[in-house]
Amino acid sequence: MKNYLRIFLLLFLFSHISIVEAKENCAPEFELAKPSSIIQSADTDSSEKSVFIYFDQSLSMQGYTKDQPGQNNLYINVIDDLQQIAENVGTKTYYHSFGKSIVPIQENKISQVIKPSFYECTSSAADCNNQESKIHLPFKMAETNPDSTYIIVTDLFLSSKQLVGGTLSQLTKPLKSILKKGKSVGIIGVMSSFNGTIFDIPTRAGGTVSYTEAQKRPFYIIVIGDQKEINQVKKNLEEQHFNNPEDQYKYSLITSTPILQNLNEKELITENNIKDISKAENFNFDFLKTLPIYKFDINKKSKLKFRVKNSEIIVPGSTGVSQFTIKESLWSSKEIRCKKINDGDWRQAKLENISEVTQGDEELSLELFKNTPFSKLFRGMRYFYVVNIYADKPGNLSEEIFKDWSIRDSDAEEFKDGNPVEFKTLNLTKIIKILNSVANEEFQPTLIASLALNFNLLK
Amino acid sequence: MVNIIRSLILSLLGLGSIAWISVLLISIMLVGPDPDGFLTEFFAEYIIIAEKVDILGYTFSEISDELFLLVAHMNITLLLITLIMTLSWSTWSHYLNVDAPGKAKIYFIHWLVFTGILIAILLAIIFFFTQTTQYNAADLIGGGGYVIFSFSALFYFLMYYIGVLLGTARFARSSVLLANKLPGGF
Repeated sequence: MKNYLRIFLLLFLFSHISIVEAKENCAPEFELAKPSSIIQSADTDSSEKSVFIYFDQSLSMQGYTKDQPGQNNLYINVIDDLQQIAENVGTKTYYHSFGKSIVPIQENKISQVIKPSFYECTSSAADCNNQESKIHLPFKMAETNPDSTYIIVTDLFLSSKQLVGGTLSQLTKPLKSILKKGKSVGIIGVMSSFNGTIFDIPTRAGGTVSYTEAQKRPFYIIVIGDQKEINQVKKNLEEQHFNNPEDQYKYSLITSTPILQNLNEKELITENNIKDISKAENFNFDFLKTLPIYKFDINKKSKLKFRVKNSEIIVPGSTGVSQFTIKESLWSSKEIRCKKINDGDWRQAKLENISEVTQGDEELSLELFKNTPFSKLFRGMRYFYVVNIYADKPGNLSEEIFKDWSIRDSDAEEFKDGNPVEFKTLNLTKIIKILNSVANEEFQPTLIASLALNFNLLK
Repeated sequence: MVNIIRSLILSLLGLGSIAWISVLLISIMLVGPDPDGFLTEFFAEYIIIAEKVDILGYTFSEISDELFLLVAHMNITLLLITLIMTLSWSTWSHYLNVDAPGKAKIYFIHWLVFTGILIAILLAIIFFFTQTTQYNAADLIGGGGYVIFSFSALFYFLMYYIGVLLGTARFARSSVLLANKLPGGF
């Protein structure tokens, strides 16, 4: 009996504490928006992780291994260190070459990758692995064993024929599966010296030609795995190799989750996110569970802007977000003193277009009450406004990153005829676009932040 | 002195002829009109921004109290000012120096200026109540604001005019528009 009494008293006390808390928060009854799950693959212990490195063995890669006087050869340096970088990511590293098929490289032969002989073949063309570069093969391997990390070194020189129909789906299908599992694809482009022949440059007539005058050309390190590992590889490369200002490299992340985090989950929103709000009369900042509530008095002429740095919400190097949407609700009460407001006093407004969200280069800003300004509300009332900001559509930032290293099929011949010293990558933008579109298919609207304003509208 | 008292009584009678409407309106407003009555309906239809009230999730009768209080306070102020100004003119008219035939007409200019001041005060009062931030309920007034403005100004001017028409000293009646047309008994 005593136990029942204790339980009853505890429940009674708890329910009263909850009511008091709600009253002090001075808020109507509403449901907090649930954070969308940001798909990140489960953390696997790096001690168990394997790293698979695939080297493009096509003949066009040979030019990276020969020094070009006056040009910095980053290929040799980077590949030299790739083994050590791979070991930082996982414990066991497996080396392969790919061309027509995937061929394992014995450990004692790894050093050969930076030698021109690695790309040569004395057998007949049909038996050689250096005549084509089937990049979808390593992707297929990544699909079958997604817990490992995959590093592909290639010149990513793909003709339009390889980017249509069945050949394309051979690439997109495993990619889709990889992204679905929360993995991402990092593309690190490095401009290196080049002294060799670039094959298979398409002509307008329909054939192909080769080019030998290029002195510089980008190669790519494609990393498939968790964002953490991709960043680690990128960081190691940056620290060890891309120190000089003249070193040209680019980075892009293909991911279905370009959203870094939900700002509410770790209570990252502070009073400073709305400039000068703390100077408002009767200002108070508090959290109702994870929802930040700005409580203040305001006049009709005031303008408020909620700002968040892009770096806090967008995964660096990813496609970013091209469209944000907001879901908002406004309540008002004739009684302005919080202690005297009862639940029934709150009336929900039928307004749907109150604030406006815009994205700049550096920050995301929510212009609060831009479309329904404070001047349109009645004074002498207390208002409670809740807004949820969602990332609605993925962007295409990464396409822009690689734009100036890309050349289209139709322009390739003309470009070659101009005898360029720095040769571009065929259809690079198209490849990135394809990869992004696959990632975007997997994208789901994601809740970035929720916040509430509790204000008393004065003169 | 008897003449002044007589003037004031006549003036009050003139004011009272329509001031009762104002007093009645003020009383109803202070008590609070019937939520389903004519006044509430009139305000809801012609004076307030009904759409805004609806959007915020209220009905007009739920938030009309403050607006009715505003109208009551405004009318009290207008009535008092009109009363003071009317009685002031009626008293002052007895002290006008009309010592020659036709001289009273010169004081028409004085009356005009006095009336102009009254109208300016009336408009300022209406503006103060309906357009400034003194009363929160002023936010409720929408397109019907001009109705309040023009109707109130006209109504209290008319009240004043009837008051001075009857209350102006007999010898100075030419100073008030059309006052000399009144029958001799007044």
